[in-house]
Amino acid sequence: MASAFARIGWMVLSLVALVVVWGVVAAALDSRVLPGPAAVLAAAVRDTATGELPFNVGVTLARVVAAFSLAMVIGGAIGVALGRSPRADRFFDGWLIVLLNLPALVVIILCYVWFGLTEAAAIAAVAINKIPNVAVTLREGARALSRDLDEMATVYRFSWRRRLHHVVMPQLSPFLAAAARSGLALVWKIVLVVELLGRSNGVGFQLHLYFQLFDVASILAYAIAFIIIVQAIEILILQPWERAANRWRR
Amino acid sequence: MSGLDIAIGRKAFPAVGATAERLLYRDFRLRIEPGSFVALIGPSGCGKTTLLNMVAGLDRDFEGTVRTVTDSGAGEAAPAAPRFAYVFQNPRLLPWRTVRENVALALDHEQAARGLADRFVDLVGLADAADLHPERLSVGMQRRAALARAFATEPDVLLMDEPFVSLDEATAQRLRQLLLDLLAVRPATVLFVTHDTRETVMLADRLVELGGGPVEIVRDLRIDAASRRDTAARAATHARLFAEARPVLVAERLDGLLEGRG
Repeated sequence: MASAFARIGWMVLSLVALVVVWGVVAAALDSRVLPGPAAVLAAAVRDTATGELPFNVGVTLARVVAAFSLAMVIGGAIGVALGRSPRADRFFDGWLIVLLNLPALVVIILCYVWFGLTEAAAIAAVAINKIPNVAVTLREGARALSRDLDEMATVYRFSWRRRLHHVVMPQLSPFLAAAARSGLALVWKIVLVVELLGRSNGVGFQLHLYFQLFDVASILAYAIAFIIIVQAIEILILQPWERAANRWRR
Repeated sequence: MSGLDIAIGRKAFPAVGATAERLLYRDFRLRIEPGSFVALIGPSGCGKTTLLNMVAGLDRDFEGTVRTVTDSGAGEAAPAAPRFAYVFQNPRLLPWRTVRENVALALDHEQAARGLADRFVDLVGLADAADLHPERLSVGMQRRAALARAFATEPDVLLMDEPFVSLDEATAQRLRQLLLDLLAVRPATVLFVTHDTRETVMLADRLVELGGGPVEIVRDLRIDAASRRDTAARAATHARLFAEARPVLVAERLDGLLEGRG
């Protein structure tokens, strides 16, 4: 417990130091392109009061959730299938390598060109960028599934539902958690690019707008708001889930 | 209760890379009477575990049949789906479920409703550990949990693959006694693979020794109740059955034991 408090203390100290350094540098330069913390806070308060910031953050978050869920489900299913079937794995391995190395920007452009500047195209583009990563992680998980426990479940005639819930999912959960962690970080960055290129709302669109207006304070205000939300998801949802999944370990 | 009629026409491990195909079984036949306790012994790697896996339906890649036969006579069809339980060399418990959950998961609805999980967790002496996860238990307790799971499923045929191996002798001996107690409560036909000849004499009423490749039955004999009644009788039986196999050391030790008792 003491070490947890110490960790939080250091974290607060570290962040305060960052803000102080930023404030000093901004004051010294006294430039329009690097506003100080006070100016950024003012921009955040202003856009929150008009409702613009909460609305656009909400829109972006909804896209993140949709693309993330799609990528986890589809990528997970593909990964498990490849991990269980060496033949399918050999055949599709090349496809996976191509997809893994395809630049995110290319996928986004192609989706917009082929499917139009629509919400579905935007979410599909983000999901397609993430699916190969999830598939590769879950493929490792499926390969590591215990044959011993599988045989035990067969002998004792586990139904497929019982087998999935009690035998397979607990073994895959560390891999799912790893995929979710890296997935969230990747997805929200790509969502901003998708919004910048082809949507008329969301944080990415707002950043584009303020870029054209050269309003750096507002750009930083949106960036900080998003960092706070992504960290909240990590600390309030992902970490407790991981702890619960590992409760049985000694 | 069901017995077994095992007829393996052919079972081979296929060639892998430079390793040639290995023929394990060819025209092998073993009949096991309902309610008997058969110990399978034989050299390591000769195919004993493979035989259990074929009987359990885990290994279907062979030519031949494994039929279950009922009390009323050989050859007659057994009840629709005879139940098999398998106690593996490792306990194979789900580490993320408690002892009670591990036992309960192997049961069907009707057995669960009758409270069989708790009953057998009690019978193996794990009532106080029922809500612990397996990694918190000693190896001996994990094996007790595996026994509880096997018996709670009310098996017709119980397959056991060296279930007491790599335990200290005192713990192994307690577990052997526990197995006999459980069989008294809930009888089953047992097919038991072991390397431990003394264990064989204590538990089994029939000894089947396998050898060769492809596998054949080297010895097949009964061990009647009288010759495993108490420690002295068991030592004498052990000496009679296994003296040739381990000429000097074992025989001398047993002789000393018998003189001490006589």
